[in-house]
Amino acid sequence: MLAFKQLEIRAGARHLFAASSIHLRNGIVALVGRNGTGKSTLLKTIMGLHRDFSGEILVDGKSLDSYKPADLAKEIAIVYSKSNIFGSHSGRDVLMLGRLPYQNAFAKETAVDREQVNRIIELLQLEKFIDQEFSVLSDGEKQLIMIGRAVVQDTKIILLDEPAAFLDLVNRHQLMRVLQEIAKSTEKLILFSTHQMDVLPKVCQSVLLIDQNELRLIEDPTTFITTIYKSFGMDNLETDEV
Amino acid sequence: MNLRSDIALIGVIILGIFILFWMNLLLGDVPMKSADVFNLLAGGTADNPAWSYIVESRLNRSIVAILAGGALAISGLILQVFFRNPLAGPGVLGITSGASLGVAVVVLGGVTMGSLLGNLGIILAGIIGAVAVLFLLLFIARFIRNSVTLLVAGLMFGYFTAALINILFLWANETATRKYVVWGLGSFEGLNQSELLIFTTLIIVLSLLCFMLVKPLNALVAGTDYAASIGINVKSTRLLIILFTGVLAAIVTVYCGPVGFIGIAVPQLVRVLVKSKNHAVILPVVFIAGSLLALGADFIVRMSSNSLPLNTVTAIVGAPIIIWVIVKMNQRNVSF
Repeated sequence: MLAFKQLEIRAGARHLFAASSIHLRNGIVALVGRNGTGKSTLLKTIMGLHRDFSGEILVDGKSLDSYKPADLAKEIAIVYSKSNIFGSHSGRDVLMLGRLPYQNAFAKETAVDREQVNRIIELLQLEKFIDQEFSVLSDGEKQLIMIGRAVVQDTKIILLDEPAAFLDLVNRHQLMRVLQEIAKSTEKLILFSTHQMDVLPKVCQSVLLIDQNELRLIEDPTTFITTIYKSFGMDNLETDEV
Repeated sequence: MNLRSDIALIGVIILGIFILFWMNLLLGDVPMKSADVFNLLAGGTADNPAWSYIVESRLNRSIVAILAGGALAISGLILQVFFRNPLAGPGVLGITSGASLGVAVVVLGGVTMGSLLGNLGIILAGIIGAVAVLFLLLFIARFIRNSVTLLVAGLMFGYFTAALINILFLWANETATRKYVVWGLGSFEGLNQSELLIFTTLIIVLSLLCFMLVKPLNALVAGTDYAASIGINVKSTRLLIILFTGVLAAIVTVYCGPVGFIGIAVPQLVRVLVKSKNHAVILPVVFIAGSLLALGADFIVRMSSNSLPLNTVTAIVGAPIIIWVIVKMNQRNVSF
């Protein structure tokens, strides 16, 4: 679904990291790395918004360069850590934004659009607050709606850039539950960046780790945490609340 | 439900435009009868031959008001969504001032509107001034993330260009200076037939082109990052937004003077009143609401026998609307 070949990502004069050959299939994958190692830049690069790289990124078997923005929007959706909407949009209006890539030049809503939106509201159980104004919702509710919006976009890949950064403990669990629900009921690749280690073995099929300027794939859940901690130079697990 | 309330809103606005338009033809220093005006508009004659000139002048300025108000309002709407700030508008961001500087250079240099060449020269100068300010603003936007700070930068452009214009006065003769000052008060009157034709064509074509921005505007309410992720080419959108809003505001400014408040107040008000979130609906509603406000302002100006300047009237109507929106925004504790 998503593959990197001889990828090397730079930011200005700085070399961020390289990846020789990585192939990601459907399921939940975490993206882990210390601050400033280039997690957000990797997600931006996959979105086609960061051009400073060499090598190849394959989206659904085709090179990223071959996609126009409007076509890429049907392949990849994204959720950022914080969102706000300019206007008095309801949660439902925000979900409908996910259908924009499929609408005509006048953004006419079709029956299919509405049906898709209703289906996702049901799947993610957003009924309680979906018709309230987005700007008055809590950060947790906002984030669930933004995830719903990404699912409505009907893409094979969903990226999430530190989706839990502003959420409390309960909402973080809720978020993980929702991601698992999406992975179970759809055939999507869900790639999310995070600093939260405890959930990884339970939730993720694999982990992408940026370490020493290298992007690596860890595929054995039992080794996720030890490998990550070792790469961060923190061998003593006891002193840390994991 | 939503659809019905939007249709009712559109109906009320259009009805208001018709009523004001008709009153603007009938009433004034020389009151006329409906039958006579009908007759004249149909190409007939009236008892008093001077009446046909009066009706023509009233008709012209009403058309100018309708198009100018609409143009300023959609220009403001697009800028508010793009900068995600309800206080953005062609006046606040310094775009009108940029156009004014362009006009000042030409007018204070002694060129008059009369000739076609003079017309085009002033239009071009106004557009260059307006678009230059927008490009400068976008350049500064790279270093300023906070959109309120950006607005302050826009205001500073306004003061700066005003200062440049004051310096230009030093070299200008008295007639040119007076002409510029009167232009600065704003007015929808005084366009001759050929100017009206240029003005009407440009405003209608550009306003229709703004429909190219429907999908980008719908997406931009979520910010440029999200807009890019739902298939919007942010770079080309930004360029189109600068061109369309800058040229629309510049053309109005060239012919009607720097008309204030319509560009901020109308889109704010309509975005509160209209239920649809689709700019295919919001754009035309904002246009006709701008027409209504401009026509109403012109009507008040005419009822004062042209003694009240247009900008005084738009300020008296527009400023309270803007304050009301700011208060409402703070009540809801919305951060932008």
